[in-house]
Amino acid sequence: MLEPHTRSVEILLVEDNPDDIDLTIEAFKESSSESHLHVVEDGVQALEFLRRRGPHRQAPRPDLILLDLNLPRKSGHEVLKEIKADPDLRQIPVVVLTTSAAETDVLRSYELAANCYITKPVDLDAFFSVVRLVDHFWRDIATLPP
Amino acid sequence: MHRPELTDPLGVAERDALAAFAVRLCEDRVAIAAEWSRRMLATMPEEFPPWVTLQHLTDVHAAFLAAVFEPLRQGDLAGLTQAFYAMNRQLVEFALATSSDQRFSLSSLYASARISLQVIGEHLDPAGTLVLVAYAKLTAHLMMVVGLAYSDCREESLQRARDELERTVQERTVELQDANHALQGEIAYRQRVEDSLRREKVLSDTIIETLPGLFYVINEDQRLVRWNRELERVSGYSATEIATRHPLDFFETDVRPMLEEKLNEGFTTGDSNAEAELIAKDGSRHPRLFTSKRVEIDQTTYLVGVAIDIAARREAEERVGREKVFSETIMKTLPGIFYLFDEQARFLRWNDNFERVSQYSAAQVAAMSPLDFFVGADRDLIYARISQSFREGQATAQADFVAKDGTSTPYFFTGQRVFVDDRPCLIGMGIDITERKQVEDELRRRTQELARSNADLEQFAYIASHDLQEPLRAVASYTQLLARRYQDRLDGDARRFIERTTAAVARMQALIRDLLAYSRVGMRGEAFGPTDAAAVLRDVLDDLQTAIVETDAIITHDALPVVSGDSSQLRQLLQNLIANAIKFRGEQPPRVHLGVRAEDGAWLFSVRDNGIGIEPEYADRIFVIFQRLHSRRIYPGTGVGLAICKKIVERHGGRIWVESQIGRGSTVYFSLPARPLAGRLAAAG
Repeated sequence: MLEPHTRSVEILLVEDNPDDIDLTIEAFKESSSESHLHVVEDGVQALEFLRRRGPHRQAPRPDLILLDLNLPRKSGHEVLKEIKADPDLRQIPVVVLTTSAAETDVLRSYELAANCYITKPVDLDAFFSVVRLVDHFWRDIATLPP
Repeated sequence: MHRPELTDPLGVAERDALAAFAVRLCEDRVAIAAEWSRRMLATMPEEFPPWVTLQHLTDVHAAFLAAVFEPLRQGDLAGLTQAFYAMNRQLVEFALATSSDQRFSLSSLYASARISLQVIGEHLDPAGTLVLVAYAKLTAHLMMVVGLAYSDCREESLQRARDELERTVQERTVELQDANHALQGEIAYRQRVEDSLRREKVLSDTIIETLPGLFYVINEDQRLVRWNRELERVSGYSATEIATRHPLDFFETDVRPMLEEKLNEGFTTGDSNAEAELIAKDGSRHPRLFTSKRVEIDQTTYLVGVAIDIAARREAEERVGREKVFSETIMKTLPGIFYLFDEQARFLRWNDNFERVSQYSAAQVAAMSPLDFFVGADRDLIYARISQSFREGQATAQADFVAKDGTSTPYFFTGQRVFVDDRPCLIGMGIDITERKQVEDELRRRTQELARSNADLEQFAYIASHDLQEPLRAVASYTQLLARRYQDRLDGDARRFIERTTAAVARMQALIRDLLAYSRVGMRGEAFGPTDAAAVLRDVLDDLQTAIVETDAIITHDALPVVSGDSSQLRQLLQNLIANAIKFRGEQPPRVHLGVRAEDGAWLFSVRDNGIGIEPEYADRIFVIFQRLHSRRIYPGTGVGLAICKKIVERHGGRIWVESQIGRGSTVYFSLPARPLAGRLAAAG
């Protein structure tokens, strides 16, 4: 808190598409070395991670959640709804990062109290820029809850 | 009139001399009379009618001389004068009576008297001077008497004649007047009678001749006494022939007794009717209805009648018979069931099929109501439709016909109101529509299937598009990552391949994006509402601003209506069409006109351009998805735009087509309903 610039940030990426996972990892690699990216591949795992259950007993509490909407087992919206309904978890900022640009998806996400909605750019350079901006914003600019 | 006074001219001596002379005169009277008469006839023959002979005249004169003897012997001048006067009057009257032209004159009388006196005088010679003087005196005196007699007689005669004439004239005049009067009356009366008779005759002749049939009058001797020309025409016999024929001769022998009876019946009862075939001279037969009536004319009894042609009626009867056979046959051979029932729901007629299909006997059907063949909702429906038929004239219904054993068969029924003997009835037939129903069900099932399949397809296209995006993005991303990380270590070929891969991916993404848009037309449509085409066009032109400025395009439009539709789709429609018009421009700056006109309850829009146009044979192909007519190098695109347009227009219940020729520009027409589409299409969105 006192020195946010040097602080190591825990980020949970909820994403089922391995291509996107790898690309996101690559993008964070290029962005900074202070962020620890944890990846889960469906909604159920995401909540287990957050609640430190099952295989995620040792999981850290993430500072930021990057949430895809189109997920197996439990959709991104459901995950978002549960997070924001959970008094322990709802302070964690959730950035919806998805390929969908559909208005309904955007509106529903904000209704469920998503902190930010980002449509993944198709162009690689643009995507890298977005990841860099997100990383920078939440890590260096925004003040996160303690 | 003046009458001279006669005085006695004789003295006593002369009187005595004459008395002596009278004896000789009397003795010689016949000789004297003969000589007298001879001379008279000789001197004035024209004075006497041919039948007056000498003897006649002699007798008359002798009688005269005898008559004057006594007065002359006694010297009675008055007596003598009187006798002379009487004789001469007699003569004058005789002459007047016998002479037709009354030529008898006073001079003739004088001549006669002179002759008589001459003859007498010669006879007296030589009787002495005294006698001669006396005789002369007497002669003069008597000549005067003759004159008097003549004039008196003449006078009286004339007066009489005048009076007679006057009277006669008066009488005749009155008579004539009366006669004239009577005659005129008579003439006028006769004229009137004749006119009236003539008129009546003309009238009756006309009536008789214009009668729509044969006319005849038969007398009690059973002879034809009067007929019209129609009888001559139809029978072919001349008037003479008809007059000599017995009325029954015009018929076949076998019907003659019957007709004779009818004829007698007519004379006895006053009228009679008979139907028979009149046989013409040429043997042709003419069916006629004979109607006769007895009439009395001048105490004579006649049978007057007309005969009308019943050939048409007979033919009609035969035709009715034929038609009855015809309709019975139709009824029997109808593929369906036939029925006729009245307002009390009593069956009047039905065909064999009805009994076969219903499994009821004729007696059972006769006791049933049409409603007895239906159950449940069908029964209510049939009741309603029967009422409708009676009320409005006709109706149809589709219902299950239930047979005696409970099996029901789908039927299509028709009902037509008809009047049988002035009673409203319902006639109709029913057709087994089992097969049709099966076909309909099948069609409905297939339609539903198709709709579901279409929806599935759209869903599939939508999901596929979504899911296709992911790997594509990965391909694009990793290719780019490759270029980004290994830029320095890649040679020209590798870099070019990466570019080609990236371009292919971009194109694939465009295809997917358009496919998605295409599938969304069906899946994601909004409800129809009033849409101002002018406002839509404004938005479209805003969106196309860059292209318009770059190409110097001029876009014009008619006054645009408010239509019913999905505004965002209509916007896409116009955008695609106008963008196409600009995109496929010729060498001139694009000129695009959006026109509209009302046609058949719809709005017919047109987007006309001056672009490159297309060959008419491709007019249909351009609306098929992914169909392109041009190289991507010249006109990039996915070939989805017009397919989307077609889908949008069809979803709105319209039609889209293009009219074009190479080099002459294109006009894309599309119609939109003027009124909101109810139900299916709108709801399908």
